[in-house]
Amino acid sequence: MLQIKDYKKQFANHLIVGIPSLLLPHNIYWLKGENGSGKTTLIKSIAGLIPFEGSIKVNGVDIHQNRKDYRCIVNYAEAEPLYPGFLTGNDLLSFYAKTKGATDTQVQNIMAATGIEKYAGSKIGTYSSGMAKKLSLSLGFLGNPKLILLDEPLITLDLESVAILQKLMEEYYSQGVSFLITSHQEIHFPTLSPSRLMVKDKTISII
Amino acid sequence: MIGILNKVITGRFYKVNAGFFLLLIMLFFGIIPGKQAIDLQYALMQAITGSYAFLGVAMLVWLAYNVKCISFFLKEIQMPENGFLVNLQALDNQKQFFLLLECQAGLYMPSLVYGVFTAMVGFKNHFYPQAVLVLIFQIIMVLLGTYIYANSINSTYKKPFITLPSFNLFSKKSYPFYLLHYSLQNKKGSFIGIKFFSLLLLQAMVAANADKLSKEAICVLIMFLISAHSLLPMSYVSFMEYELSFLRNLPIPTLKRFSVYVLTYSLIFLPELLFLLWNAQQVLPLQIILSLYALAITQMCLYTSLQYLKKMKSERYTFIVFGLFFLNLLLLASTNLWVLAIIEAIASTLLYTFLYNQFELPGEKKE
Repeated sequence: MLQIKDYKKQFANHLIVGIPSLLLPHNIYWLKGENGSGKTTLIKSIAGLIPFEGSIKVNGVDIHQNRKDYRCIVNYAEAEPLYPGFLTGNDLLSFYAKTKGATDTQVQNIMAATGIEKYAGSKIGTYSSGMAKKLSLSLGFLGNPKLILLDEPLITLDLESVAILQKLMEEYYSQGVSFLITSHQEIHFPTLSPSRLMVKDKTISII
Repeated sequence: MIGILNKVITGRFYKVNAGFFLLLIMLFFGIIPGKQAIDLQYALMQAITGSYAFLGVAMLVWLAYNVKCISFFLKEIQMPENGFLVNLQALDNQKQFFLLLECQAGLYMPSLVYGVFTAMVGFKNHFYPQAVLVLIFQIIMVLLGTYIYANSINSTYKKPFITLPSFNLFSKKSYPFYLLHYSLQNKKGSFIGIKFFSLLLLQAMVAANADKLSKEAICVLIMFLISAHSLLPMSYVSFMEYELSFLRNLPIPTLKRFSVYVLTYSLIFLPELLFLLWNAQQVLPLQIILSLYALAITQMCLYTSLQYLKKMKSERYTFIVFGLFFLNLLLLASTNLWVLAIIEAIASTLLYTFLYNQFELPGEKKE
């Protein structure tokens, strides 16, 4: 599913993370590491949001060679989502649905599952951080992803929303979607056991 | 899908630049009444299509406006809250191109409309080659913008073609130099651009025309250059209040906070001061050069203090910058430059002292 080769990310000639080779089959992965270890940098590289050296492929698709397909199969929800305050949740749901190829039914289902339908018509500027986070997570599930990257998905979520997220993840996982999650909080899945990865000493290892 | 781009990019562009467009409309149609204004525009379009020299000037103006549109788009898509636009990468090249073409046409519309009317006037007056050139130029401008937007949207994962080096003036970054470091680290492209443009204009008008130079011409040019620097106070206050908001919790006297701006502007205008001392001493006495330097610093301080006014948005600020520019031009003829600089210094210090503690962060970042 995820194949990384000769990956290197540097800031001002300072190596943040380097991964000579990594192959991860379909699963849910929990990426762990200390603050500043490079988890978010790695996840943003996989999401194609920052430049990097080397190659990252998801289901054999490399963003450098096939931007459109890669963007359609890799979804990303950031740790602290930020959107223009004058847009509504519906504006963004519609935009994501059109770019990612999601159907109206899928949008409605996700809205109902996450409970954002109650406020999706309001301007994002009026949302609390938890509401914005739920919107961001809902957007992360739209379309036909093969890999969903969730950066700190549990922060600012209440217990009920955490349970909904876990249920959604299990449902998507059973449909062949893999997950790569960074989280400082423990994640418990009743039926699944995520594999753990550790970012340490500027590289990644499977625990 | 264009709807969201219109909200995030095009709509905001016209909102942010409302002052600029209002000024243009006033210049074009407000000064001369009724039909005469239309006749003037018609004559201008005739002149553009009737002479290659005029056409060249018009093309430069259209290009400058396009640069403004492109810079706005690039700045907007790099803002964290607009990060979601990266999903445009999920569209195929053709769909993405037409979407961005529509967005660029919306931004470039005023020039495009003027260009098309100019070409029509050219055809009517049988200036066919010039009219065709105008149309081709407009098409190139629209396509150029679209290409740059697409390239920028799709480049999140690509290594930048050019990386400007970091300028580390001092290994230890002390508080009085924070703003200077900010310019040289975070805003180095625009900062170097402003300084380059400023010195280029001085070189073109002062050094290259030394024999025809007058005191008034240099003063007007300096006033223009001060206005060209007016974006700096906006980004500095934004930087201080958003990224260095913790400074408000530190026991730093208000005047010391203000002195950081004074010091920064003194250093920023040093190249211009040195340039004038080196090249314009025959035309301008030393005390005039020094008073222009003082005026530049105090005017920038005044711009800074004005940022702390309630509901200070970009369009209102643009109005004030233009207003102060014209007011200073009027005062230049009758008032001593030192007096003007002292008035602005007192006004800016009082305003800052009064407004600083009353300032509340607006919801959205101003930049």
